[in-house]
Amino acid sequence: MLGFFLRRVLTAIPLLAVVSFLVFSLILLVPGDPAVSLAGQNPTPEQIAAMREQLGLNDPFLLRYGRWALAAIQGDLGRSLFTSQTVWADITARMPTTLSLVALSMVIALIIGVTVGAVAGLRPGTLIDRAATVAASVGVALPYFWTGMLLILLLAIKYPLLPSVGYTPLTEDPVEWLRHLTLPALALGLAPAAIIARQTRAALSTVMGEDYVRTARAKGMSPLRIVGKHALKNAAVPVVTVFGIEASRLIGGTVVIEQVFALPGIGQLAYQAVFSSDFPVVQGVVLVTAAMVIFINIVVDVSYGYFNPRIRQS
Amino acid sequence: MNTAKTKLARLLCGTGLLMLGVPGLAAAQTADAMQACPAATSGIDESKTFTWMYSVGNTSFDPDKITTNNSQMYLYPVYDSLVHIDASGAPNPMLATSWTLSDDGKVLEMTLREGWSYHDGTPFDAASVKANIERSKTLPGSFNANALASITSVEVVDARTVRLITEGGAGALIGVLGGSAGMMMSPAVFEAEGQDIKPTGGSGPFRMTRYLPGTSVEYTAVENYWEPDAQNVAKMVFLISGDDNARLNAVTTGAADVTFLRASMYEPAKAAGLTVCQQPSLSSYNITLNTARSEFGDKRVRMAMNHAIDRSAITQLTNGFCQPAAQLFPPFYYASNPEIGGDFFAYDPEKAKALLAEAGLPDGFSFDLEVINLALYQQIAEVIQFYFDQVGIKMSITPLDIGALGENFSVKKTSDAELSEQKAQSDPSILTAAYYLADGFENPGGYSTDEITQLHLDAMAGATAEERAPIYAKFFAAVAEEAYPQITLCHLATPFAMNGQVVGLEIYTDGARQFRGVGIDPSRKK
Amino acid sequence: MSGEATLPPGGAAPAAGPAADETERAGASRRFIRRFASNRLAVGALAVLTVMIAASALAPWIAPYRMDAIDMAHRLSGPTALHWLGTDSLGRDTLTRLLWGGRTSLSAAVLAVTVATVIGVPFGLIAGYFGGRIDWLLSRAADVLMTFPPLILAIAIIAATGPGLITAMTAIGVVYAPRLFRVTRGATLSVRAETYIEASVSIGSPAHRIIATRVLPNILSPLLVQISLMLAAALLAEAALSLLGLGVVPPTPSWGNILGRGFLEIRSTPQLMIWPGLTIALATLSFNLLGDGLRDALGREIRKGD
Repeated sequence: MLGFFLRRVLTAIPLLAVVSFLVFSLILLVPGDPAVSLAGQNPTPEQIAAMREQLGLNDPFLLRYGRWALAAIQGDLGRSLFTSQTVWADITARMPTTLSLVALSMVIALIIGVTVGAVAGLRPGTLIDRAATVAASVGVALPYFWTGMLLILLLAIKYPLLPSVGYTPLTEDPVEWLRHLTLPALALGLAPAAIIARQTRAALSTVMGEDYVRTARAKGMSPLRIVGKHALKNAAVPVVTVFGIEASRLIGGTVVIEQVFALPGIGQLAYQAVFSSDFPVVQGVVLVTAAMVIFINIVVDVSYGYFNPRIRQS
Repeated sequence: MNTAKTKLARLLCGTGLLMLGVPGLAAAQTADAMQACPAATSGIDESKTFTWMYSVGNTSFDPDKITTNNSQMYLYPVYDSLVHIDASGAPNPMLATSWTLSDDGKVLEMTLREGWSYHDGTPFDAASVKANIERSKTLPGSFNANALASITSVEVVDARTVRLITEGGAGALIGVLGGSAGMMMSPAVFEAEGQDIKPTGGSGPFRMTRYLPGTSVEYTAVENYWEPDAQNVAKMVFLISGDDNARLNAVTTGAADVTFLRASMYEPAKAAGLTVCQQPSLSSYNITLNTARSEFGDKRVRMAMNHAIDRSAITQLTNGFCQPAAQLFPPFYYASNPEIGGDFFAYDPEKAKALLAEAGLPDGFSFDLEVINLALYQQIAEVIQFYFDQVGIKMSITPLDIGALGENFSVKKTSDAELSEQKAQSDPSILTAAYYLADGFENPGGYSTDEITQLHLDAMAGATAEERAPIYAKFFAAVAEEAYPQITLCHLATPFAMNGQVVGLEIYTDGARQFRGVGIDPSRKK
Repeated sequence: MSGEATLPPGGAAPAAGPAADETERAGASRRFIRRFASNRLAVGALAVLTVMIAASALAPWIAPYRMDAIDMAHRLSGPTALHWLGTDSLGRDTLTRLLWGGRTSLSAAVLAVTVATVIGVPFGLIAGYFGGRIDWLLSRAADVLMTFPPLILAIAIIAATGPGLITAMTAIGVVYAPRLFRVTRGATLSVRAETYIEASVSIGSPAHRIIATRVLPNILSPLLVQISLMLAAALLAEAALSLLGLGVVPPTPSWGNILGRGFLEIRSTPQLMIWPGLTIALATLSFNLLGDGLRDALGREIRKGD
């Protein structure tokens, strides 16, 4: 298991290298000459040349990338152009918020999705199944940021049950942490929950027809145990696949959700950086979020091995 | 504590101001809503944390390297200044315990506080004051260089005495030294790395202990502060959110103790049972133009822009919290012209079109307005965009972070125009220099006239507000006559909302958000 | 929606073979129309979308007010006879803004999906048809692009080039391209294995002609489904960007920026965030249902790739 995980991590390295190259290349899209804009007002050609030298702009692009990548491996992503804080410090300080949000959204998506999917899948064609199917279609289509606003309107303003802004670190107060994250995580997790519910339902209704489940049933095993022991485990592969696909959308969605709920995460950092053209920060955020997506996909791949041992050998 | 009325009286008398007739609008509007915040009590628990929530962050923790007026708010806890301008606008001793002005108004001699040190242990003395002022004057890009321009030299008389020599206008320095230009920073860290994000050479009641740019700042009280009454909490936290609803929610849910209110939040704040209080303020919304760009060098174009805007629309947008205006300061302030009301440039699109045609632009022109990426500013910009469009001026809107806004407009000088809130400074000469002198920080086009430059200097030379007031009246008449490249839209009143346990908070007339002496009294109802 | 993902991908035979003559094709499309028409949800979705597109296209003629006309005296009004859906914080008519916003939002979604199609489909055809190293290379390129959360990459590109919906949606389209690439490649692979393609290759027909006349017609159905679903996703992406103030520039409205402005007034005038949100949700739902309907009517297993 561990070996498979490590092999999978190794194959991710070239992927990460290419991704980082693209991230670094984003600077080529910046119009104009950065040396000119940084050299101050009415710069002399000498000042511009000095600035080019200082920024290393005279070196070939590949060499500049190499330097940046080497530093990035050591956790040095440069400095913010506006706050002069290191990008790494900026990101790590906000990482717990975003990771909490993403993790909680996924947990919510899994719990709601699998529960609804299982309930529907065990009773195909019934009223409850049809209701779940309709709910899933609507859930997939609901814009998550609007869901968030509706939740604020309902559960923070009309009936003030939960806070609609801010973040308390888990280490400081776990209860407040959960209270602050419930609404944003619910907003973000609802669409993936709907997709997972569809997948679970479909997978389950197939699995329930398989021979070994029928055998187990004939032997008198309770339906709940069958679902828990056999059916869910087999239904897990498509569910986990969806999970991996949804991860990247979910991480992208944090930018908007963090804005709607005023959460100090890396999405908010990216948002602020755009309005101050703070390019090193933007690059840092893109790189880190891409790495998160890669990591989640590794976990997904490894979990295939757990749910279906045949994959590990191949 | 004083009632609001005596406070206003102190504002006018304490600084020796002259009541130049309070015109209807400002008085009616502020008198109605003016309520003092709860005064300090004996029940203050000094181990508590005070949390303030604002809309934008600061650009540096180094007093000379900031680029926005608002940044000073984040510096007050860390740095004491030579003079303290109190909530009413009156100068009080701080790191300078007393001062005398020479009869010719050219020399300001200050006696300095004894036995105080910078946070890094460097003693506070006359030599360090000289070093600070010289640095503020000479550091390239210094935010404070304009304000201190009149100083020709600084003399160390002895360890406790320093003499500021000027060409004239030393009287205005007293106020100037109450803001970032008078903040004292340990000379030992002038060249040290990272002071702009982690200041270690402060001189105030708090040191900065945690900083997430654009999100939060935490301050921790220093030991043995020279004025214990000004330090009533163990920690202060400044949170930042540009979302008005989020700020209000933070106070109603207890995530923050205090925030300022925009018009749309006023009624919800009261409905939520928060304490709401306010003071008249000297803030305004302005569009500032770079006369070296677009068509702004032409006075007729600037006149046309002034006449094209219906300022009352912005008053409506702000539910009456911003009253139409055509000069930088409101008429109740001594540095203003009482004759120039909000209708000075009457809303007259036909006249605006005629002026444009006269300027050779019958089909109008186009330019880009840079604006803070906060909702209210963008809405104001859209209102103006509509009115300009009616007379043929096509204005595009670019939202930016406040730091980038100042940088583009004042430092890089790459923007045509900016829309921002201008708070007052500790002395009016700081802003008149910034906006109306050719080398002013807010005047990238370098637009000025000899008359205006001279009136600015004359007004600075006045020793008291009474002496200066008539000169400022002339000054602002000349500014309006020129249709200066700074278009004031309206004057702003900004209420605060807080929970019931916050005591001793004062709202500063000049818009400086200072929390000196604020405390939390847990015995009171939240 | 039913048992999707239960059949093995590519398990069903392509509908048309080399012998598919005109009558057979006509029969297939009649079958398709009959099946689609019996799906009431999909037909309803198509109707909703048709109305939305028509109303947006006709906005300059049917909108009751000027798109940017402010009216401070009637700001934040509820529904009235003059303003059916009320007005926003600047007194602008919400219905007018929504009609004009549809122009922006729908064309932005179409732009992103067009970019994704122009990149994803040709490369998918090449990878699936030729296989081998070119397939490996293109597939890895798709893997790389798939690691970027679309919204974050779009924001990064805006940071570099400045705000503007066209750059932003082009960026979204580029990140979506791998999804269409994968669908196209997969479908092409299974068509490529058919004997009639082998036959064409062996008689020396040039690759581009085989792709154009044999492969493309046979992969159109999964593509259509995918495009419909992708339109929904692109619509959400536009709304998110404009909500953040990174998309369309004022005074032009889009559904996303109307929603963003409406959210500001959530305490006083909540309906300002209800209408645009409802519009976006309805459009997204319709694109999804249309995609589902197409999938069912085309009678083939197509895996959702987004």
